[in-house]
Amino acid sequence: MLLQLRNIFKWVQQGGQRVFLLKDINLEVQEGEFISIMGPSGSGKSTLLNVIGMLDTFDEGEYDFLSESVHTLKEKYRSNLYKEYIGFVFQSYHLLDDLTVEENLEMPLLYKNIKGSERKALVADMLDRFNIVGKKDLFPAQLSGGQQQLVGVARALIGKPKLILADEPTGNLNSQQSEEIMQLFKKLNEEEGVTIIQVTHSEKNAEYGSRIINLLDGRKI
Amino acid sequence: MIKNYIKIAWRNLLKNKQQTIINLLGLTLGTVSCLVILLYVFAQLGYDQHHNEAASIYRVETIIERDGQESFDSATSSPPIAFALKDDFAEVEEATRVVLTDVFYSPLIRAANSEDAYYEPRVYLADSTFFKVFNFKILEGDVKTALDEPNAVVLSSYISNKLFGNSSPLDKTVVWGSGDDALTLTVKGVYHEKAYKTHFNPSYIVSMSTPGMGTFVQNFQSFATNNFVYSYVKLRPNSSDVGLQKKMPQFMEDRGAQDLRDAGMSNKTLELTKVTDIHLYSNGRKNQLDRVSNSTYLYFLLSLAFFIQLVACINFINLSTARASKRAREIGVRKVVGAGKNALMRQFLGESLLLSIFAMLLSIPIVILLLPLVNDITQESLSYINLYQWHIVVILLAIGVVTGLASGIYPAIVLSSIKPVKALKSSAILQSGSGTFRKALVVFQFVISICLISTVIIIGQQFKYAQTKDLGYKKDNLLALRVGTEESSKKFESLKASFLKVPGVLQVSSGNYSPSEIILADNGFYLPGGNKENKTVVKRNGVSDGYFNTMGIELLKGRDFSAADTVDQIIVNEATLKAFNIDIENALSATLMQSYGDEIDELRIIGVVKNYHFASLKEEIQPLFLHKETEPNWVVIKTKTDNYGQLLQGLEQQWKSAVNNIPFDYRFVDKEVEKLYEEEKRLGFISVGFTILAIFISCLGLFGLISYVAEQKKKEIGVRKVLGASVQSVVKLLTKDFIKLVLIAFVLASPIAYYFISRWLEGFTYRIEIKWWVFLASGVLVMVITFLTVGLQSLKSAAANPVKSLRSE
Repeated sequence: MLLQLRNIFKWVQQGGQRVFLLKDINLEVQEGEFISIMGPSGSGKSTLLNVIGMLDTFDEGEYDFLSESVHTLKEKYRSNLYKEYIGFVFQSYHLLDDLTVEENLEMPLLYKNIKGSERKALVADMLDRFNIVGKKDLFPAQLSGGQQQLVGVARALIGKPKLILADEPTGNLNSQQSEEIMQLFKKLNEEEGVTIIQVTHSEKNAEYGSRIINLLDGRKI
Repeated sequence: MIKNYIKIAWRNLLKNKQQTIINLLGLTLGTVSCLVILLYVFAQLGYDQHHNEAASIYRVETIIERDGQESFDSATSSPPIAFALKDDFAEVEEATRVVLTDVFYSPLIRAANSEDAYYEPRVYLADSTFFKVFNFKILEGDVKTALDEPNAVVLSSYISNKLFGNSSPLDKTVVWGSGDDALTLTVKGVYHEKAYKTHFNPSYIVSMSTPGMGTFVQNFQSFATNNFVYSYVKLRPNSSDVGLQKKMPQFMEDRGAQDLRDAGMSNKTLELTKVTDIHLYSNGRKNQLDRVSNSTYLYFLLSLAFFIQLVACINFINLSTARASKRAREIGVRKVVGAGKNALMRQFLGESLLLSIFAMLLSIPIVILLLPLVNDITQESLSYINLYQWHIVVILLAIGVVTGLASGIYPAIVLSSIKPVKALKSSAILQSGSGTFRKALVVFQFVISICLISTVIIIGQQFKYAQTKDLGYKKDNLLALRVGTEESSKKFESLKASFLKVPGVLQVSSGNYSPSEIILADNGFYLPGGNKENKTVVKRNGVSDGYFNTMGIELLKGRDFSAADTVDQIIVNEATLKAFNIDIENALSATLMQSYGDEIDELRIIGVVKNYHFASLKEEIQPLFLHKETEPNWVVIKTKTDNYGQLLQGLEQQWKSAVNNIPFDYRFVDKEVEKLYEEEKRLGFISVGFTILAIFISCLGLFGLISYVAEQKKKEIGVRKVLGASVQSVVKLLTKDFIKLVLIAFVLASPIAYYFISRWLEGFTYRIEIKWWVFLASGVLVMVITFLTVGLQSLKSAAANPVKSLRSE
């Protein structure tokens, strides 16, 4: 088992009242799964994804990741944990504008203290695999949205994560570009056994996954 | 990793050009100021460090306690003291003495085979041990023995050139003095006068055993009087100066008890001052060999440099934190791909360090370019070589690193604490860093500006006051002409008659001191029937009749000198009457007594003059008496002319026809008075410069901040304008916060500035009162500058077309 959420609650105080963002979420994810989270705006999809990704905290409940109890870990260990095992893909790509494609890909490796020669090899490998060798010296602004997201996925993968969290990865793309990215996810999942959890609005994209979780007002339905 | 940080930092700097330029300019100006001031401070600290075992050389100084008055502290001491110390104490390895002859006379000097004679100030008589204790850069001759014989002289290279040109002066002869007193001296050596920084500044040094003043000093035996000799002792290694200092009272008791009682100076003690401390830490001592500086000036300059660098750091902090939201996304992304807080801190500190070290590197060539200007202002001879002293390099590096860390640490903490979840939300508006902290920093900058401006205004007022204050005599159109030799001195009456014929000359009289010259001569007096062992020191000047008229000094009581008067008739100033508690109504029937041993003189007061400032305004007017002098050192001439060229030509003609080969050496008294305040003037000039710099850097920061605020409020401005807001109201919206900050700063700065300025003014006995409006004016000035800086930028945003700003949202 990759991760398990048990009775997760998250809320904010508003005018003396608790407004629940997540309510009693229970979830088990096995390695190799491809899960889609769906639900209307404000239903807590992204919040759930951030909790799983350890970018956000929760107020109640328990979270085990690879048999580590995340809720008892200090922030430093939490960040080590996600640094090691989780890759993120965003709707608006979130590439760094000041860095070239190659440098964007290299960045996660820098924070893992990987040696220069090994970094070069890994980046070259990734550029090759995603067919973007010719674009390695370009800056993000010089790429199309689809190409930028390709780099975003490559960046998420370069640290060899067990889990990829994608928050509406195709939200800013046209249908053909969407199709390509979803095909890529599917291939990664099937051929390399990477676990994927994505948030999506699109029924069609959700179908790529092996399981769909529906959220409404912070609750699983 | 580091390569990556530098790359990112570099690209970031390039991207935010405005911010980078503001920060770089500020930090560079700050570092330049620091560097210039450091160079100056180190130059000042370097005095007398070059002598062998400089730390064990001491000057023996004299302290005379006086009842109810400040003690009289003099850098000098009585003639026999130095060598008596060597005889009595094993720890004294060597002793030597210096006499500044200028105090008594200004002998002419010329090469024996030439008629061109020169007055040179700063002529020393020195013992044969002088060059054994002190190191000079010797160009010619064997100085260890140079002063052993009578009639020997060692020249500075400057005088050597003047007298002998490029040829070697060694073993050639010079004529020293004039008329019957002229002596022939043999040149035994030449030294380079500018090789080292030292409190000695002689034009040439004559051996003490030369007949005249030198032999007088050698033979004089009293331990009490004639305190005009600079005495130095060099202690053996590992001996304690504190221990020796403790033995001084007993030494004076053993050696000089009788002398002290005879002279009425039983309260005289000796003190040892490190020769390396003379330049900066001995300015409380009177009768210095040459002008000394004051360590408080250095502290003042160092704090100026510190504040300027601080202002630049504040700019960096404000602009970096204000712009944090711009970088929030980058921080979020980095955190998500695995950057820890520490890694991000390192990155941001790296950026500030990169900038500060770049500023440091830039400052070096700038300082080298500025050195001529700096030398001009400070009268130093700094060169780029001074920059490569290891301690300067180390401190400069430390400044670069500390500045980088100081300005980077707070932004680094703020930026690295940004939560990635918030930062990555596309619509997130980040409230980064505490706005209050930023405001506090801006207020602090304003406080510095207001303090500096009010300080500068008051320094200016004090100088103006010193220059225009009624000195008690009329310094304008007053000319002082050096008489110089005994020959010309005896001709004073005929000179006077011939000068009076020159058109433009109103009055001619004479004195032993030029009007602004420091009066060193004094006598000890007591009242008839009083205790002759408790005397009051009164300064002495000899003058001719008509002196008060020429100088414009008011005679309050009695009469001027007449032909029948001798040295037993004296005229005193009001301070003297006060010191002896004599009522002015009874002054003309009063006498003052002086004694030496059993010999007693009674001097009759025939007149009282109003107090006048014969010394600098920094000192209180001391008791002074004047006696009649028929062979004076200076002619004082009151003039009235539009053509000084002609007047001076006329005077010179009369002078040349009356005396032979004596230089026509004149000065304008008002210019000389100004020279008394040279150091203050320089300090004032430097403060004004740095104040302008500090304000400029603050303005840069303000400009950066307001640009940011305007950008942040772009949408608000757009909406307001669409709803009908005028340009003025938008400008008001943007500027009112800053104006509030200036007001807060004004309230905080006024008492701080008041405190420091009044401390500075305490150094002047005659000083201006601090007026409240000075602070108000400084506040208003800062307000105006702020309004201009902020207002211009806001006007730009206010005038922008609202449609554009709203569409881009």
